[in-house]
Amino acid sequence: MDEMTLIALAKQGNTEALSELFRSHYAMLRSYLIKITLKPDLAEDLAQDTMIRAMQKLHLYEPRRSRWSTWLITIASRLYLDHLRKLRRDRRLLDGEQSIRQLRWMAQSSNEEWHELLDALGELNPEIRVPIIMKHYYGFSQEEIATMLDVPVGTIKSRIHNGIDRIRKEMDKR
Amino acid sequence: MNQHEIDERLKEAMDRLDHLTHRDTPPAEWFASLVAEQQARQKRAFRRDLLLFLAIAPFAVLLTMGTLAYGIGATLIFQPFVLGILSLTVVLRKRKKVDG
Repeated sequence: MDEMTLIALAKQGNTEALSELFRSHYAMLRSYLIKITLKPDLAEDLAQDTMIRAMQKLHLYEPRRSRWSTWLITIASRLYLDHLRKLRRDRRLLDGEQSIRQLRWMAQSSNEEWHELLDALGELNPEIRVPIIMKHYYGFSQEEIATMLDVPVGTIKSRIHNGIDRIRKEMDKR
Repeated sequence: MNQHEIDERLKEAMDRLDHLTHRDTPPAEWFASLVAEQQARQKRAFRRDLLLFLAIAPFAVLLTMGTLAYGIGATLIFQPFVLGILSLTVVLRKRKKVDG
């Protein structure tokens, strides 16, 4: 069954279609959340919260306006930014360092090579890291990111510009 | 380092992160139970809100009609009811937060 049929059925209350939509997008969603949070555990919690929120807001989803995956990414990004707002600033910085340490440990214990850019990304404020990953890895335009994160386009532009500048400096140092 | 190089490095880093944190998607049953559980929760919440509405609506109508018929003094008679309803709402909302 194609995605549009599944969406139509899910909107009519078909639970199997909805489960299948979530199952087929789970890997993408979890992977996206790991990239923006740099925390596999938090990413899994947020992926589950995203699916729950998607169920609650399913009646508002319009397939003509965005793809299902884009809608899930929008919900996931907003949930992550809400989660950050609830954390105190000092806790956020500590969290960032811990998550990079945890990922480094995972890489070492599985004999995987570490990528230096991950350190630079981990040092960025998540509000800057999220739009950079959305634009430079997922290929969303700045206007799309602004709509998805509900932030003015100008703010997104300056966050991306400053973030890339900091990554460049950080990478040049290494 | 130019923009193209940064994009390439970012892609490499993200792909490596994917490889490092890869985990298989849970079985279909896990998604089915998540959906069923959430739907049951939504139904319970809807029923509770409906009951609350049905409990409040008659008093709101009575209060409006009383005020229209007997003037502002009638609101004093209804005040204990209004306070009761407000307390009930607060208690139900607190319980909702604990459940949620």
